[in-house]
Amino acid sequence: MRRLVALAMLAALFAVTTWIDTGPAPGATPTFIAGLVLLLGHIAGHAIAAIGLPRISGYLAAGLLLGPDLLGVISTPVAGQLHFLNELAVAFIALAAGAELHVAQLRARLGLIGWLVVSTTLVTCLSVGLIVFVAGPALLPFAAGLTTVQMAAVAALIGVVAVARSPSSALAVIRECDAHGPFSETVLGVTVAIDVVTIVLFAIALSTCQALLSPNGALDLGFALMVLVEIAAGIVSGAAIGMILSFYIRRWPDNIALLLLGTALVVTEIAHGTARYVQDTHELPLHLEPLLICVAAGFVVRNVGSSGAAFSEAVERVSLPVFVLFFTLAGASLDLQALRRTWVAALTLVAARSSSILAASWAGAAIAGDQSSGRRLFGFTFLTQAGISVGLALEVVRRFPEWGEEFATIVVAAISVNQVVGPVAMKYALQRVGEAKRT
Amino acid sequence: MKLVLAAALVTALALAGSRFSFLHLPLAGVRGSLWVRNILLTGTEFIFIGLLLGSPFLGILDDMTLVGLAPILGMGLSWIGLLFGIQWQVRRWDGVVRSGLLPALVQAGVVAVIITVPFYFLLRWSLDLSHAWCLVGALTLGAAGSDTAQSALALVGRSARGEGRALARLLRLVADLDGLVAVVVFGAVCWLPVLHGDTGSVGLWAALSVGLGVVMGLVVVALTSYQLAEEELLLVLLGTVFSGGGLALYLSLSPLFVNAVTGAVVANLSQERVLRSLQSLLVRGDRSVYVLFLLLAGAQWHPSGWSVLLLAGAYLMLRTTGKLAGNWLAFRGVVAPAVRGHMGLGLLSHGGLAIAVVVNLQQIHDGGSPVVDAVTTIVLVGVIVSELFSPALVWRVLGGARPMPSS
Repeated sequence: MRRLVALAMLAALFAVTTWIDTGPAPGATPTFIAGLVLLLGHIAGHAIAAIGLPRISGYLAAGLLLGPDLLGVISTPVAGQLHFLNELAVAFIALAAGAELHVAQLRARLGLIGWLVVSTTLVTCLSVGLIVFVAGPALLPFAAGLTTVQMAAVAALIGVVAVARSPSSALAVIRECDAHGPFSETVLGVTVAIDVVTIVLFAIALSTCQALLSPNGALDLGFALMVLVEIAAGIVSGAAIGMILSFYIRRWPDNIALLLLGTALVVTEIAHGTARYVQDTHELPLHLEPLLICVAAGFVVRNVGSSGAAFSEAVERVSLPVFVLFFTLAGASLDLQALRRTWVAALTLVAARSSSILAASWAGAAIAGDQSSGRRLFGFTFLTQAGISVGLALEVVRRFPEWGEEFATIVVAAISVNQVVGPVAMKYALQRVGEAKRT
Repeated sequence: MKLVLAAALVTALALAGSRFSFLHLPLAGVRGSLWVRNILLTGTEFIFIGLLLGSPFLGILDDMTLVGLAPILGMGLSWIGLLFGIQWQVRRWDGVVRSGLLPALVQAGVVAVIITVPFYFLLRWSLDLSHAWCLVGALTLGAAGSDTAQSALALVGRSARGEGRALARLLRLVADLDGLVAVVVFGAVCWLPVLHGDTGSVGLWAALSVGLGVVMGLVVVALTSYQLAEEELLLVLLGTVFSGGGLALYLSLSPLFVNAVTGAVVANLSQERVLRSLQSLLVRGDRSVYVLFLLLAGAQWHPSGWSVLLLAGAYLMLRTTGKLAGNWLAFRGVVAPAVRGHMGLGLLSHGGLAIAVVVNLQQIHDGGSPVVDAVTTIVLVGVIVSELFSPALVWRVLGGARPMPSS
């Protein structure tokens, strides 16, 4: 009730302020929208938690409500002004995800993680791809004029995008439930590893498709090589940053949150700046992934030297505002219009992806000989999807402008559904396994 | 690219500054002439670093980049305002605070008047400004000048012995309380219609300022009335700081004042447990925010001509006169006459809120106006010069301290 009163007061303040508007000072709009996002996310998170759903669903719902399709408080230009904060949040969450991967604890489960990665990657990619290929133009109207080979290429791309997960959602739900134990660690390990695998697979699929879809196309091995260089460079630079952070935290263990904020800023901008520089000077499409750099940095700090515990504690202390900001803005970016136009195709993709992930996870755990109570529940934790998959869809738009837009619309609509359904399924699994200390 | 790199640089400097500045100097070190060392100990060097990074020199923090960093500044202003307001928990005031409040406000009020009145005419004469802009400039200077920073007192006060210790406590109490005049006077400057494109009236903007602060305070009280973990309190705190600051800036009001009102509402209506946690969170980030302000105030500084330096000299003289006269008048019957005569010299330390006031003026009146440039130069020169001398002056005042026996 008191939260409802607070919500009503915030709404009144917003209405009065925007009604009076005498030409705001520079930076005023993003500042107060960021504050509104944090407070409304907090209120919505608690409201949704009261009915047993994860708070992250509340943040997404608050964002959806504030977004351009409904109330329009976070309009497209305002979202552009807040993009800076969003990128910062992504890098910060990646640092946190890396810090969750503790080798000493994961070592005993490397076999299980490996089998889960292999089984879910192969089965999801193949089964989603096969369904798309068989359904053809009935599912994807833009595929009407494509040859069989070209249709296979499109199906392969959708299959690979379906493999991608959302480490940020996984981490947010694990933190919210205060989940600790072998099940949660395995889930996070698999989720992070699959994002790296997806980048490699996508590069291979994209090169192959380009060769198949262009009339005079040849297999672009250079592009695949470039992706491998990107991944290696990302891991090496992340490890170097991690070593520096580790040294700093060991010497001066205060104010780590501010240090991490600065690190996230530098990594994001240097990654993008390097890509622009290499593109301008050498015309090479090098794309250093800030996410990968930060995961590697977090992983090194956690596992090398003695500052891992202090680092994890500092990250945990400040991660909630970052999660609220990130997921509420993600909610605002959900494209309801696209979902309305393509809901049949999107829901078909979601159903195909979910069922293949559930089956593959069960099979992977069985092959690895896992006898734990959670072996049938892994699949529920792998349904989340966001971030990197949207980036992959946008890369398809850039490479195949003729049909890329329609491809991305359907894929983003499916991702939107996964983003909403995934956290709910994950919380259910964590509770069933008994690792969720908070409900 | 430049904006984010600038943000990263500013963050790194704030991190380093919060660690390496504001060291506590033993009393023995204060006896001699400290000069530049004083500047380093009080963090004032960050004004110069900011100036170096700003558009007149390296151009890393140029005007465009500073506009991009505006949300960080808005958040910083709100942070300082909230921290200031949250200390005004009336029900916890003891006799010492109650007896010190009125004299502290009287002395700050005297300083504000002694600076504002002459500066209204000085600005009119030297910059040829309209009545409204002269009022904005003079009142801003009055507000900035009335505040006493804690830096010199913190450096010297804790080492005082014997009779000096009681006076040091009194001076610190005054420095704690007199910021109210600065916050309220500057808050009132932002009610002048000239800052709102000559729309509305003083009453409307005043009501909006107070109303905004009160409603945000009630929002915080409502949200923190539940049992919240520390990370959730941090979330509510950040949400409040961003919302309050942003809404105030949206209406060209003072985030300092609005959030001070919010803080006062929270201080007096929240549960004790919540209040302690919020204070602890706010204090934790205080040094970094202060260094950030020094840096960005330096970066936004476009040093004006020699005539403004003359005005800065006048400001320093008027502020010193005001502090001496204000304390002489306010502490009659509280402090022995011999001490009262020069007690004001112990309250010359300058920084903190004064810099926040200048940054706030720059935020709400963008566009390189002559009055903003002049006020910035005058206050920053005032801060730098004051911080050179004030630790030694505090030591001198404390050395001669003889509190009046209670009658």
